[in-house]
Amino acid sequence: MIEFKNVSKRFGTTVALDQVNFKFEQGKITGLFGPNGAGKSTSIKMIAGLNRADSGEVTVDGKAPRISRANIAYLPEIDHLYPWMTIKQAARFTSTFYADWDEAKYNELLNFLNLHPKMKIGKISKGQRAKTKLLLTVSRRAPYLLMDEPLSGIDILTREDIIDAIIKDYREGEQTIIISTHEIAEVERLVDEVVFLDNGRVKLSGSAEELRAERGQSLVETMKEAFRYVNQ
Amino acid sequence: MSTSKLKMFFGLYAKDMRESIPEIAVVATVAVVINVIFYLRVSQPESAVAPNALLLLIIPALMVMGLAVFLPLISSFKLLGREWSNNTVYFIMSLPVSGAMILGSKLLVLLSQYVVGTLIAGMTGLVLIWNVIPEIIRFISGQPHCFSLVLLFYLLSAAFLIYLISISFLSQIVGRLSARFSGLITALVFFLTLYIVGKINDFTSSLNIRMFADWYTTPLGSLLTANLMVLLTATVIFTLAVAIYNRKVEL
Repeated sequence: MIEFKNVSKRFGTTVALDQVNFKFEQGKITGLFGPNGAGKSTSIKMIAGLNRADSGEVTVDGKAPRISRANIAYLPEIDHLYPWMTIKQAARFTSTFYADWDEAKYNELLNFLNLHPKMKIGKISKGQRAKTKLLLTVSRRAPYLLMDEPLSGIDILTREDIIDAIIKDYREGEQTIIISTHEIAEVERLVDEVVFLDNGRVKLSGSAEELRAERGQSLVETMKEAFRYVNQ
Repeated sequence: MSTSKLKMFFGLYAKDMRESIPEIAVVATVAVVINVIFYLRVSQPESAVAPNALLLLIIPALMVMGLAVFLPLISSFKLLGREWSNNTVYFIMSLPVSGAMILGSKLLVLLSQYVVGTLIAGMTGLVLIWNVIPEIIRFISGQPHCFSLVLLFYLLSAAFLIYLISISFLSQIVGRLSARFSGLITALVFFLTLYIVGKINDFTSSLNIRMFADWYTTPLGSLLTANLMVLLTATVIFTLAVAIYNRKVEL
C-alpha cells in the first residue's frame, strides 16, 4: 500500500502539495485527476522517489520510496529514454535492473503495440515513443505501476492501443496502478478509485463506482462540478 | 530474470561507454593524423639532420597526450550533464541503484577513456620516435627505476584525473540542486573546491615533508606519496558528491 501522511511540498513560492493525506489501496487502479498544477506529477514523482516531501511522509509498503524502487515501474510524462538506443537495446538495458522483467510479456506486447525491436528511439514518432515507454514499463511484473499522463499528446488510435495494453496486462488484486491524467473520459472505464487534486489539496476521493452511482453522472462531470464548486 | 549489483554496474558502464565512443575516436584519429604528419616532416632527408628534429617529435606527442588527458575531464561535464538535458535523468533516478553506482560507473568510463586515449597517444608517439631516433628510447629505458618511475607518474596523472572528475561531479550535482543559475553555481563550486583543496594540500604537504623527510628525498617515495594523497582527496570529494546525489537531488 502507498500512503501519504500530511505531505507538503513547495517549489519556490509554488505550493505543489499542501498537507495531503491519502492511501492507494493494494491491487486497484487509481486515477489521479485534476487540472494543471494540481500536484498530480509531484505526487507520482514522490512515490517514484524522484521528489522528497518538505514535511510529512510518503511510504510504499511502510518503507521510504527510494528503498522500494525495485518494486515500482514508473512511466513519466516526458521522453526519458536514450534516443540513440533501439527498442531492443532499451529493453536489454532496463531488464538489467529488474528481477521482475518478463521477456515473454515484452515480446507479446511488442507485437501487440506494433513496434519493432530494431526501431531507434530517437527516430520514431511521438506515438511510438509513448508506446515504447509503456512497453518498457509494463513488461515488468512490478507490484506498483505509476503512469504520469500516459496519453498526453497522443492521437486517439494510439490512446486506445495504450489503454488496451494496460487492461490486457493488469493483474487484478496483485498490481496497484496509479494513473495521473487530464483525460478522464479516456481512462474512466479503467479506474477503481479516484483522487481529485486541486492546488495541492485533495478535493474529492473515493470509489469510482460509488461516486458514479451516488451522483448519477460520469467522473468527467463529477470533476467539472467539483472544480466549479471549489473555484467559486 | 536474474540481476545483481555487478550486472547493474556494468549495465550502466556499458551504456555510458557507448556514449563515450566519439571522444575515444577523436583522440585516436588526432593521434594517428598528427603523428603521421610529423613523421612525414622529420623523415625527409633535410629534416632528419636538422637540430629541431627532436622538438618536432616531442611536440606531437605532447599535443596528443594533452588531448588524451584533458578530454575525459571535459567529457565528465558532458556525460553527467546530458542526463539532465536529455531528461534521461528520470530514467536513471528511478532505477533501483545508488548514486555511488551511477557516479562510479561514469567515473570508470572516463578512466577507461583516459587509459585508451593515453595508450593510443603513447603507442603512436613511441612508434614515431622509434622510427626516427631509436637511440632516445634505448637511452631512457636504460635508466635505473625507469619503468617504476614512468608507471608511478602515469598513475599519478590518472589519480589527478580522478580528483578533477570528482570535483566536476560534485560541482555539477551541487549546481543541480538549484533550479536557476545551475551552470554558474557549477562553475563557482568547481573553482572554489579546487582552491580550498589546494590550500589544504599546501598545508598537509609541508606537514608530510617534515614528518617523512627521508621518504621524500627519493623520487619513487615522493611520487607514491603524491599518488596516495591525490587519491585520498579524490575519494573524500567523490563520497561527498555521492552523498549529495543520494540525499538532495530531486527532479
